[in-house]
Amino acid sequence: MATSTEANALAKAERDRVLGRVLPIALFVAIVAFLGFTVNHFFTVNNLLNILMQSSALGFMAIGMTAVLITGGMDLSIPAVMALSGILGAMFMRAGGNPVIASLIMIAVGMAGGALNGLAVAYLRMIPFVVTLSTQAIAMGACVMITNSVSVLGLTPSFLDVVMSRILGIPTPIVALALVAALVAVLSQRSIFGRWLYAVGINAETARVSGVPKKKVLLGTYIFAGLFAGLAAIVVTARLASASPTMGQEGVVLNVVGSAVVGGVSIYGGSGSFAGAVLGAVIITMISNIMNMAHLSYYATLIVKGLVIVAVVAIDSRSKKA
Amino acid sequence: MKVKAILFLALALTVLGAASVTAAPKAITIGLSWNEKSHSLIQAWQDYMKAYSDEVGAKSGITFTWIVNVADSDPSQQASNIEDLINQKVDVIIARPHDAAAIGASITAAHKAGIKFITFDRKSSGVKPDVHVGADSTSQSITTSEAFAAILKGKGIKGKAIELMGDLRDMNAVQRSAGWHKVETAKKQWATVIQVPTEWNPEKFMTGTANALQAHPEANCMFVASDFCFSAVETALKNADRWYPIGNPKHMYIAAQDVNPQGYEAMKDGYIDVATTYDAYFHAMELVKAAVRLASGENLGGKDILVQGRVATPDNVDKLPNMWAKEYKD
Repeated sequence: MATSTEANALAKAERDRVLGRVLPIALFVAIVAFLGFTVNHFFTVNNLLNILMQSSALGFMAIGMTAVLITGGMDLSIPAVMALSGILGAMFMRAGGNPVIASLIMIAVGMAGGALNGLAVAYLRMIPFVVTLSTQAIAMGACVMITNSVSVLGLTPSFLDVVMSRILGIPTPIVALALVAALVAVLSQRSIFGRWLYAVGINAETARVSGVPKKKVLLGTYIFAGLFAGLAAIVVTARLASASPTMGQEGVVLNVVGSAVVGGVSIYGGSGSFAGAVLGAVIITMISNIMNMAHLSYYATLIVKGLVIVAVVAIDSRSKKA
Repeated sequence: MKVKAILFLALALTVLGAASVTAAPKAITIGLSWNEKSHSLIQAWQDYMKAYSDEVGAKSGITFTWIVNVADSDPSQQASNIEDLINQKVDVIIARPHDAAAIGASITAAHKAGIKFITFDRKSSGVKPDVHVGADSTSQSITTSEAFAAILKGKGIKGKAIELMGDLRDMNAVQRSAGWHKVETAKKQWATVIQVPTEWNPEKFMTGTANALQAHPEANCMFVASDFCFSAVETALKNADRWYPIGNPKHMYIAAQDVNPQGYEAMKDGYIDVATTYDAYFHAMELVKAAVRLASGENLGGKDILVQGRVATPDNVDKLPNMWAKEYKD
């Protein structure tokens, strides 16, 4: 029977867990409400669609990052692998290749990058931070070497037309992200792999003893992250109508991790939702948008983003200690 | 009667046409998209643009509004920032592209929204903007190289040169290198013994110089594609015991570009022999003029407005007017 001290501690832990889930939504609503009344041009259909469009690629990468974070890992290479995927797919199109196959190449390259990370983390037991930092360097170096630092133009017009089309007035990448996020959210709660994901994140050793194939789960998680890097590559390449070796530079990593964390994913592993990560991506994008619309300094954007991420991580940290 | 009517109509159309092209608006909102803002040159450009627009505004009665954003060296972020400018219905967008290819999508989006687009300093490699304003990098390196050839000839020196190249994604770097080699072939006053790609990275300026001196100790001159981080080159030369001013028998002859704050100090102290200026003030002036012309409805036909620099040496660098390097420090 729990003592009153233990009961208080459990209640506090539950409050902090709820706070961690509710906070992103509350933050989102508060920002939108404030801005609607204070910033010109914010509450226009065009701007709101812009925000969703701008956050679509980030949202795909955040979904990939979320899976890794849930298992207690880290993947710093997602943006760089995204850039490499985009470049190879774009080069295929420039050479006259079919855009559907080019898109599959982007996904395959992403998954290959993820597999490299997964094998190192799961089977060679290397530290995720170090492995993925190295993969990031490899991918960025490959981008520059393959392109000779020159962006790839000449994408197939049908590729651009399809990816940048609209469905009932809504840009296709937004619709695609919403559908994929919903599917992943359902699968994470209803599928065996989803349960294994959280089990490994809560306690990897206990999960292994309980029969969860820990190594396969970790490998699968990083391949999953790579797949979403490939999906992000399709969106970014179409949006820029080119593939740039600088697409995956280091600043993007902060946005990807920040999206997941602000969306309620714990950096300690074991908890978080994919839908939350997508919402986090929208919030992170909205911060830049707000700063631009309110004509505030670029440096203020960096400070605000940093503070938001630190605040959310602090709350997450408190709930874990409780 | 008929002739008079035709003449009157022709006159009326001419007046109307002229009025529609040259009538300046009362207010111009300019959206300024920087790719990054880690260098004092960019702040200098921005300050000069605003100051010159104030001058123009005072004389013409035009009210200028500037909306500025920065993309943190991310082409996707720059695309998003420009979308935000489009959404705010600015009259003209000025962008310093981070990626020459990716900026094309933003130019297309702006044109679709009826907004004029100026690329600044770095050109678009795909879709053409309404006008490009920048430095004439080819003539900049040719004037520097020709002056350098004259200096070497005057000293009776046949140079063995280390070339520190810029970022080859930047057309300015490509053109500067081309200009250097063009004069090398024409004047035959030096031979480039090694090319060092630096990607405009100060660390690579330093390690590249050190490695080049190690590999070619016989090198007696250098071409520095930009002196924005000249202290890195200075460090490498000092470490190799090659840092001596003009007049010293061990002086390393240096031709540089831009006369940025670090380059300015080094030139004043006699370490850089010649450079051609990268004139932030005149760039800003041409940019504001172009923006006013576009906002007034004038069609600039996608042309390039290129600003030529001025040849600077230790003897005249302090006498040249409007030198941004004197006012801004790194």
